[in-house]
Amino acid sequence: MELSLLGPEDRDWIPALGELFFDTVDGGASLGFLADVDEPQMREYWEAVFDQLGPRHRLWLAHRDGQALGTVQLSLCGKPNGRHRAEVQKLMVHRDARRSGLAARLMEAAEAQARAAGIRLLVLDTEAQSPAEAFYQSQGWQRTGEIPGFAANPDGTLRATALYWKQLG
Amino acid sequence: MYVALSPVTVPVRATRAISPLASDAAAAPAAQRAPIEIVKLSSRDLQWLPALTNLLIDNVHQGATLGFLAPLSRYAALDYWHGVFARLGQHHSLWIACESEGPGRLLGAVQLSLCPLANAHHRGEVQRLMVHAQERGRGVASQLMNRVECTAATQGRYLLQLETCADSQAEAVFAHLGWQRAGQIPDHCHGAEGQLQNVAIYYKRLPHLV
Repeated sequence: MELSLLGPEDRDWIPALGELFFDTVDGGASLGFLADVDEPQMREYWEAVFDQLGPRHRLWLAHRDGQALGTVQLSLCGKPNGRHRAEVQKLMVHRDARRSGLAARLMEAAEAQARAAGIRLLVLDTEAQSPAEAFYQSQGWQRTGEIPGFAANPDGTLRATALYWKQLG
Repeated sequence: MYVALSPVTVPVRATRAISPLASDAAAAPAAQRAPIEIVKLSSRDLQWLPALTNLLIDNVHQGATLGFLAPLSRYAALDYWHGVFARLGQHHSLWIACESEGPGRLLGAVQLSLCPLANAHHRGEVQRLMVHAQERGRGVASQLMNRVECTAATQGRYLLQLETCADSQAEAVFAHLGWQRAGQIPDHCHGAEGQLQNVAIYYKRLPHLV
């Protein structure tokens, strides 16, 4: 397994990322979409991510033999009074690659990059009562609360989101 | 004081005169003050740019955490508002509160951003509620929020969220208006003097109207 920090020139990975994307949605995580999300929408999503890549938006890909196993994004806050914080976004691990410590490796990569960029506060939100909650808590993230009925699952059911933060020492 | 730098008034309509002394009206007792009007702006309403720039600088210099650090230059404030006007449309709205008589002084502003994600078409975010420091206590914030909430509800956006500085006066306003506090994040943003401040996260469920 290899962990790569992708740049805007790495769009050849979009088909592989698309497979990971659909596996994640099929697994019940919406990523902002509903179950009827199609190939063009998926491609549009990743193209938009690649358009943003640079010092303020990072994308990691864990891959093996050309298959995307996991990914995560780090988005630095652009506001003048929030230059010390960043948001962790769209952590995905393929269902075939779970329970292998991959999510932790992706998060370590994101945190290391954040530290190197002078970031002292990370934030994220994730579906409340999902397995991801236990994972983030095991990684030292603090849960501050939740907003009910925040986002729909792929099947359209509204679920609460849980709000997390982590201070980087 | 920023009011010394430039006039805080703009004409609501071309026929209205600009009074260079209009800021004196701020000192008038509430009973003599003109009624408040809430107006939704479009990308063509650039005549409000100077007054909005003053409003943003006023609020940042009063310590509001609106994403900026003090001192905020006129250039940076104007640049910010140009960006807002460029975004106005289906998913982003801007309302102002102004006096409905006289020169139509700007009192406050608020923005609503509708979540474009397919799994969140019921959600919107209230952003950057600002009220001129000398106009507080006359219900400007409540009227702006009321308009935002009504508009959101009629568009099927029945869950609103916002962030505000923890332990601020704004917290009391949002609680009074029926918002729920979801939690807070420590050291989330720099205050006007650069010190780190906690942010409080709020949400409000509106009636299903659509």
